[in-house]
Amino acid sequence: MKRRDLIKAVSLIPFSGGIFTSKSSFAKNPLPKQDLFKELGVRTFINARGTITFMSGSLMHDYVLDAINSTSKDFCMLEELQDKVGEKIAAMTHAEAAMVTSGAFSALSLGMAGILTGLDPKKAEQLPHLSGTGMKSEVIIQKKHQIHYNQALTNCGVKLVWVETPDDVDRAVNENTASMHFLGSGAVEGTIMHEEWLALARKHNLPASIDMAANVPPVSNLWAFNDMGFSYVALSGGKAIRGPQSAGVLMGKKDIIAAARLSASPNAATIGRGMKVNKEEIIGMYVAIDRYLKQDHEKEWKDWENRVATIAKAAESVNGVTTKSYVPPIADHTPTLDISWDTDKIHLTGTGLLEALRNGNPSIEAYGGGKNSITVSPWMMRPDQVKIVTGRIKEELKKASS
Amino acid sequence: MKRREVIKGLGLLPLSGALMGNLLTAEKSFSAPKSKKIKRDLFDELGVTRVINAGVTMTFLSGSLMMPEVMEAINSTSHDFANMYELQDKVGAKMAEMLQVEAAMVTSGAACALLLGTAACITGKDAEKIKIIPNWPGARPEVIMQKSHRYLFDQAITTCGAKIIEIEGPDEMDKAFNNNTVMALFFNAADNSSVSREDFVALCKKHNIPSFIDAAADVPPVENLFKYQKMGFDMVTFSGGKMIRGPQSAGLLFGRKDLIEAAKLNHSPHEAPIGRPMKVNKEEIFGMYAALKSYLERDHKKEWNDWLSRIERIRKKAEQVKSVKGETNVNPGPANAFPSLYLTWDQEVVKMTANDVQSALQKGTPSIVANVGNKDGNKVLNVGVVLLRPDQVDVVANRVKEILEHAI
Repeated sequence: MKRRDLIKAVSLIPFSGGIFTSKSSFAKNPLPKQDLFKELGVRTFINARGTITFMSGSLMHDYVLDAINSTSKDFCMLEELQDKVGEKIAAMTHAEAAMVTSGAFSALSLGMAGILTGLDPKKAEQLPHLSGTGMKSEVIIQKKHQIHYNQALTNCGVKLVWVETPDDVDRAVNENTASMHFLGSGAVEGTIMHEEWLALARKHNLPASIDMAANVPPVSNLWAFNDMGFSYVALSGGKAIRGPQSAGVLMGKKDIIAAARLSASPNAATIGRGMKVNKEEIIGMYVAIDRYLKQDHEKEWKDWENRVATIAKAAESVNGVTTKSYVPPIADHTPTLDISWDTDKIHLTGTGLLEALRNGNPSIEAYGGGKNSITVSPWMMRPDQVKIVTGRIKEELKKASS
Repeated sequence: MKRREVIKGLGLLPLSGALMGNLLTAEKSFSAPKSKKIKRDLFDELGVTRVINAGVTMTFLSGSLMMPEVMEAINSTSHDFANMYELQDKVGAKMAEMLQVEAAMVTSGAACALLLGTAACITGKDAEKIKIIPNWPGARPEVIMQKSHRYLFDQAITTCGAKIIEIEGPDEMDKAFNNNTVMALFFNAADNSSVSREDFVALCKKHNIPSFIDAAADVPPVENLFKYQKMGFDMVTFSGGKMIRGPQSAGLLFGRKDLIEAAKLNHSPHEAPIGRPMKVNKEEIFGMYAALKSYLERDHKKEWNDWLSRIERIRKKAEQVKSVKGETNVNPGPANAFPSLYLTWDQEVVKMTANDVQSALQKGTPSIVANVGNKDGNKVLNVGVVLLRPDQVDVVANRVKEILEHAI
């Protein structure tokens, strides 16, 4: 609104209270407020569970939204944007190179594609049909690292070769071996650990990759695996880092990232064309990592611990309830709370409590839900929601008390 | 408006006590924008060149610019969690209603839609098959395409492990169906077809095989959003980030209910199917819904006339340069079927080729991407107007004039 208009408006109105207190009259071209959740009948809920894809991951930070908004009014070349954002992310994560992908699964596939094709676009066009192309076709992986997400590799046409011991690795390597893959959250006792896996890869002159999608926090994991020397690292962007849910990062050796980009959009004849990230997501991912590195992780951790303590205290105030707080070791490494109860005193099953929380107002999603317990992860709650969750859990437990 | 300006403005008016009281409260409502932090210019920070798009909606050029309604949808839905299965179902149901079709879903673009549609035809609801894609132990599933329809994007089909069977003419197509056939794909914007859309659909129906039409860049006209399902195609895809102006990483897949349901099973948030890496987030799904709604409600005639007047504006400016002639060119489609400005000149007078001007526009500041078109075998400068922001029309007009003038 221009000054001229304001004066005009003011002069038309008798001076009484109100005209200046009304913010809306000065608002710049406001779009009609819409509640799309309501319009579509989609239930929103308080997330007391964690960063789960089917639960829409996490909530983008305001600075990510600012980035999306502020870059949405201009065109730019996507390759140039990937180059420049990639350089910045690589510098922040101690990697030689990086790119923004449409999630960690996409990063796994594109990194694999890069290893298979090198810088040959003809080969990129042949994926995922490897036979007769001269491309290698096997990836060595530990049996304990078997999860659904390894399909990101087999989608490129490779076969997984399962091993348990270093000797198995030596025996498994042959002329068709493309790489050795490692699951970050599978690094548990009795398995070959990161350093040894990398030593084996070096011994056989093979690239080694790691899936560490949900393995942040700690923040140091953003660079730990690059420092160790993994050839490529796949990271989710829409979890703890709170970038766009449909974004992730592929980082690692320069030649592999360059080759991976051959198989990614905006290139057309590629297996990755459908894995689109747009300009706003690419920039949003950059801003999210930048801010994540700068944030006070200790303070954030303390805050999560306080949340757990608050909920634990309220729950335990109900007779018969016990709680246990702990931190999952690798994936979803944040303060977590198990709440269990004596069913003689509280006549409720875990599933029953989950249902009651889900069907309450506001709806709350927790998890676990055994015979007499549930689990709560408070890190994805907005600050104002901690109190609500605390109150609701206590209320339901109390209601079921004899 | 700045606070200072309000006060100055008010100084012109007689002040009463009541007004003074109001003025104090007013300070509060004006303080909000003032306290806003300085805008971060991320293009500058990254050293990425902003580009004015005087071309068409190209993926490598970040597609198109999202409508305000889309930004509003993204912003207003970003502060709450939702169940992604439920969201996809409910947005799909609304979009299906809007598109007069059985079912619809949001994908991460038209290429993703091609892949999910193919996967759906291969797997149906069979969880085992969903797991095996794309590594088929036996014969590969087959997808029928016309020879003249083969294009870069058909790798979406082979990415599912399928094989493309090329045919020419209805007879060859008729004979190509066999036990391994899972789908037939029609590329709507192909230069020529040996099988018409109608025959294509009829043959697919005869053999009971789903037909899929890729119409990625084929609105306007808006009617095309309804045309192909009415014609009998079982699945249709449109890009979301082109003229519909949704998120660039979003697209539409719609058609037969059983196929769309099977496509969803092959997509995120399911854990590890072939479509898992083709993620669309909550905000993009809402954004795509808002974009489609806005596109269907738009006054297309007014929009078209606005494009024509932009062309006039640029043409008049360019024609101020000696020997330069402009004319409106309407691309017959089906892809990018909208008007643009063809500029030609006497190269004895203006000593530059169309390619030279195109390159000078791109290298200049601001950087402007235009195209080189072909008119009667001659190269012409093709200036697009549909993706210009209103404030960019004169910028383009002036730069074009400046460059041409400079070459005299």
